Amino acid sequence: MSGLLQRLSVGLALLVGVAALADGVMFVDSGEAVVVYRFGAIARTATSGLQLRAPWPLESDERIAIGEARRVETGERRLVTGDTNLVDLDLVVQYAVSDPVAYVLGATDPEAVVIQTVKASAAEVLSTMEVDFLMTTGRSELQSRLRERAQASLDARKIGVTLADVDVRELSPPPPVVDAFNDVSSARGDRETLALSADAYASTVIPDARGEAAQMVEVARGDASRIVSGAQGDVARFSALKAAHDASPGSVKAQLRAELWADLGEDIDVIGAAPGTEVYLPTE
Amino acid sequence: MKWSWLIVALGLALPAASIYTLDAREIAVVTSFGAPVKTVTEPGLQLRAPWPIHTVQRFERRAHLLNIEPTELLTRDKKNLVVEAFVLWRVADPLRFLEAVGDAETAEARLSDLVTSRIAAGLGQQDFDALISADRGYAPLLPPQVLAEVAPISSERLGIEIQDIRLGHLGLPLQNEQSIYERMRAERKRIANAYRSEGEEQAITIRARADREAAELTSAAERQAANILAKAEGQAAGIYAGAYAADPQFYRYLRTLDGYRAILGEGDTLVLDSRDGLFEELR
Repeated sequence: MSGLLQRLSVGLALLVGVAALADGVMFVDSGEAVVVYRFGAIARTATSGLQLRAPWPLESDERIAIGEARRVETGERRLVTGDTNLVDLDLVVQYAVSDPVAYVLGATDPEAVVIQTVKASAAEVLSTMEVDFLMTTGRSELQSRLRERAQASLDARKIGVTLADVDVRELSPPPPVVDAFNDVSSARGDRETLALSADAYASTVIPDARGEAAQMVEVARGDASRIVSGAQGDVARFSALKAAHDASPGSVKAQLRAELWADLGEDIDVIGAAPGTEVYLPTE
Repeated sequence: MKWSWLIVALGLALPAASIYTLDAREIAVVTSFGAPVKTVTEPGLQLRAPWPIHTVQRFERRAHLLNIEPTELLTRDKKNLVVEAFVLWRVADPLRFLEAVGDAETAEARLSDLVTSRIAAGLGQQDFDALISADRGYAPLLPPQVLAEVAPISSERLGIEIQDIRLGHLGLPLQNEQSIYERMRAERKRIANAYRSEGEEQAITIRARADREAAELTSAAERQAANILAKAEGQAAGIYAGAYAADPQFYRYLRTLDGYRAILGEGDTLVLDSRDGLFEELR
């Protein structure tokens, strides 16, 4: 009887010992950190691999995922810009635990602190920026300012997190004024179009004028050579006639006269009259 | 025999009842029949007198996030704003906290009232344009005196440390949104018109410049053409002059015949001076 009791108590002691040892063995995944508490106080932290600690109730542990990016969203919010316009902003925030001890001791709900800090930073940063800049080229500046400001606030709160990314998922004018904003961008397009079509006009008008100018000069050159060669022709004819006339003036003149009358026809009257005499023209 | 068991049991139970642990995430007050004995801030193994002599009251040591519901308030220049705020607070003096508040829920209700009224007072001392302005720089939206006022009150009266108070959202009441939209639309219209008239201005300038360049090109060509013709005519005149010099009389005669050929037609009558040799020549 007493032998059985003894064996039972030895067995129980062994079981408790094995369970205690098993409790003290920790397999820590990569991307995890483990915070070891001894009687509730933080004794040490350890990273991935096989780790040992004293069995409960002497020591206990808490695992924290440190590698993974945690993702939170602010949801769409209507905020006031620095020039008192309203814009809708929706942010996606990725953060990671950078200091496991600060993370477990800092706040009861670190994620809520991250969201609220990012929201507050967004309201602050937007209240310093103008809507035109935001709607055209300011998006990346908003993103980087936001991240900088939110991280500085989180650092001051010592909750052991680092922002990996603050992504502007949506940044747009509120629905009631979207068409007005769209009209501005189409007006910007119209400005380009008007200038381009004027450029197109210029690039046809100027070459046309250049062509016309070249043509005018060429025509003038042609006319000029015609005038000169006409004169040369006339003079050549004159020289020929003069030579003939020098040889026999009467017959040349007679021939020229005959040619003239042949060209004009016979129906022309030539009247010789001394100055001061009256001439009676034939009536019809 | 029975008594010895009791003594052993008590010998084990008394130390067990006198030892407790405090978690790193907690802060505690030891009380004795309701009266505070000491504040415990060091985590780990701690000693106390066994119950019912000593009782340990534990509180959260980590920071709590308190969201303040959206509140509509007025700036100094009487413009409405809708603000949301949040407060990060934690128990700093558990004894005072225990006496003044007792639990987190009550604490948050008290803080909420305190912070809301101070934010209203703080923003009420600022003009809307000073609060929302592109040249304001990086300053926090909330006037710093709000934290400066709330922190000592919370610490002295509630045993609470205020780590931060921030405006999480700054918006406009719905009825004001409409007028903002009107203004935004008008402003967009103005910008769009400016773009379009800028485009027209550019287009007109480009066209006018092109027209001018074209006119310059053609007028230069006209001038050049006129020069060419004038030169040719000069040359021709020189050529004719040579012929004339050779025999002026005969030359004039031929030119006269050419002249008649050019001007006379059927049925015309030509009257000439009978003393002129040309009359004889023509007859």
